Amino acid sequence: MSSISTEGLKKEFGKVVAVRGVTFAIEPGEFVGLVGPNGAGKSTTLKMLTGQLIPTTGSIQIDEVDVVEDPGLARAKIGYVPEEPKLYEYLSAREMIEFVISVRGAGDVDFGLEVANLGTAADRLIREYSQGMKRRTALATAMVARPPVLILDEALNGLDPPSAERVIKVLQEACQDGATVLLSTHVLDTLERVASRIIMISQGRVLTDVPVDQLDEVRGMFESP
Amino acid sequence: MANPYIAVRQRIRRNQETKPLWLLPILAAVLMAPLLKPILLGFLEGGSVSRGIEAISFRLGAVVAGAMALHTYNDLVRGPDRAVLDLHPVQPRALLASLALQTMRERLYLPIMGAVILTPVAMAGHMHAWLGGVAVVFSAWFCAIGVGYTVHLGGVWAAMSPELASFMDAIRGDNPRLQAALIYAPGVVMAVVGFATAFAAAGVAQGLEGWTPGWVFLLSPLIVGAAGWALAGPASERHYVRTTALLAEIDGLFAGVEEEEDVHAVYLERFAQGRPELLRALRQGWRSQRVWATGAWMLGLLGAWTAWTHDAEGSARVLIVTGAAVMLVSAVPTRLVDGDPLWLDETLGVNLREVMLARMAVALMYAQGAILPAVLAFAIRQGPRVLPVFLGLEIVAVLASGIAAWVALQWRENGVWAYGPAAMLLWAVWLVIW
Repeated sequence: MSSISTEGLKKEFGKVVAVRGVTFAIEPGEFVGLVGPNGAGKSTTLKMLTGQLIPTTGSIQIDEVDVVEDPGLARAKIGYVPEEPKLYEYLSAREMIEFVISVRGAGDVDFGLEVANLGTAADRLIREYSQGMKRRTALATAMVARPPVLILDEALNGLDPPSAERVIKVLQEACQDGATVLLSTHVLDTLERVASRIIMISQGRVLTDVPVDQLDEVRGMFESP
Repeated sequence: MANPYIAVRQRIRRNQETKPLWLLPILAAVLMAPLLKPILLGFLEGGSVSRGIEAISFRLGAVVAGAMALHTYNDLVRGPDRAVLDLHPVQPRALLASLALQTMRERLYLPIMGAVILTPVAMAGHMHAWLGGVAVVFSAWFCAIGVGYTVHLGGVWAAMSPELASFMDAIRGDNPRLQAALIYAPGVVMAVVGFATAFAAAGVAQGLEGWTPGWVFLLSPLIVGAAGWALAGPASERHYVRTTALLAEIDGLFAGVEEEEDVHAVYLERFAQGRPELLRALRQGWRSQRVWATGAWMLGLLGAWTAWTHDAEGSARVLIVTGAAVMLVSAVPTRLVDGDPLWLDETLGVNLREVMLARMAVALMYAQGAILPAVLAFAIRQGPRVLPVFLGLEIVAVLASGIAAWVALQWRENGVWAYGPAAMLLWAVWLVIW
């Protein structure tokens, strides 16, 4: 059974068609990169996967839960990092992680803080953090309860190279522990080292879905979509 | 098990070290009470005390209910917590309890203001009438919270219900179908709470006139509110999470409409030629605070309805109703600061005084939507007597928009806490002067 599977996913906003029929399946423990130019429909697809948007047509299963039918239950299966981190600005990272553990009913503060890698700043208010620190905190909140599926929208944006390396390492470890990772990004070079598959979306359609060793093919499409 | 949402809210409050800004409107009510005394006592002197307090307490209760109808929408549906909570599983009933406590804590100043404004009644020796009036206002406030949550969650159900799609299409106007139910929900809250409050106020009047069972009617808003509370829990289980998708859908539809239409078509933009700060403020207003521009015209229609009279007292009614509408609409500068980063102005070297004046101009222009229909209706009915009314309303609009723009510059989003009391005082002074 796939961890993430979509079938004929389509999303219209009135006359605007954002996603035109996306179908793919991702197996447990896979690390998949979702790539595509701006406006390709990546974020819309991820929002549908996480239950934040209802598809116009098509179906989504996350860890055997129908997201459209039961978005509440699906949330428990997913750790989601949106493009813009959404955190309580007047909490510290430690307090934010503790809160997420309490609502998810699982998780370990020390593990969360290790993911966030904030050192002593973990006890400062999030509003004082840099963009990169906020992003790491958001990642920690997504991962702390060790959900079976991690969905990350441009999660490497705004991170300095050492932080990005560290985040990638943490995601790889999660994969080794059986989690499924779907990472949307513009940075193809990063995917080359970590992903097992690349799904490229353009104009709301899956343009190609290939093993990472065929990344050059995707790169060519990126350059001349 | 402890409620995680209440716990996190407590932590946030502790970390924010918030100042008790809610004291400001109460202070404003203390200052307003003597100014409004002649109007309040006018109600009591015009007929019996019992009928007077019925009329006053019903009106105050209705104002509180209206404010709470919007607050419950903002707290539950569009609240800032949603973006954070959307990333995680939600325990809807626990969250609703937390939101209810938060709403009560943050909006308790409203019925307290009502009680303070009614104090001239007590000071005139009508203590039982005052107590009855205060009870009506507090029960309307309580009722509006329970009913507000239920109706707003019901609005989500109605918006997504295929059975109601054709009905929503019939009432949606130019809005997306999905938004129709959310637009009308505050009106439904006001109608339900208003009905219960009318019973309570009438009960107080009956009680004061010696019919003891009349006091029992005071319970009607409490019973309706409790019923609202009882329904809100199950409704939250079904609809809280789905609200996120509904809101995203509505926002996406609006974005689509804006892409299809000319994105540069901004209300009143032609008045901003050669004035970049005004242009920016108008765009900011139209794209992020559009309800202020459209709402002003709705209030203008209400004012026109009030003004459509040959009555000699008509000018006073126009000044009360449209004056209040102008005060409300003129608050828009305190909202324009949202999403208009100060650091950007400072980095670009923009003159902040010009930004303030631009926001003031936007408030003044939006306020015309509230003023012009009322003035036109009054002019048709009473001819030249409209001139002092028109002049007076424009003076109020200038003062109110100036105050709002200044406090927004000084205190950013918190400026509303200074503007609200200042506007209420200005309105009361204005009524006394007139």
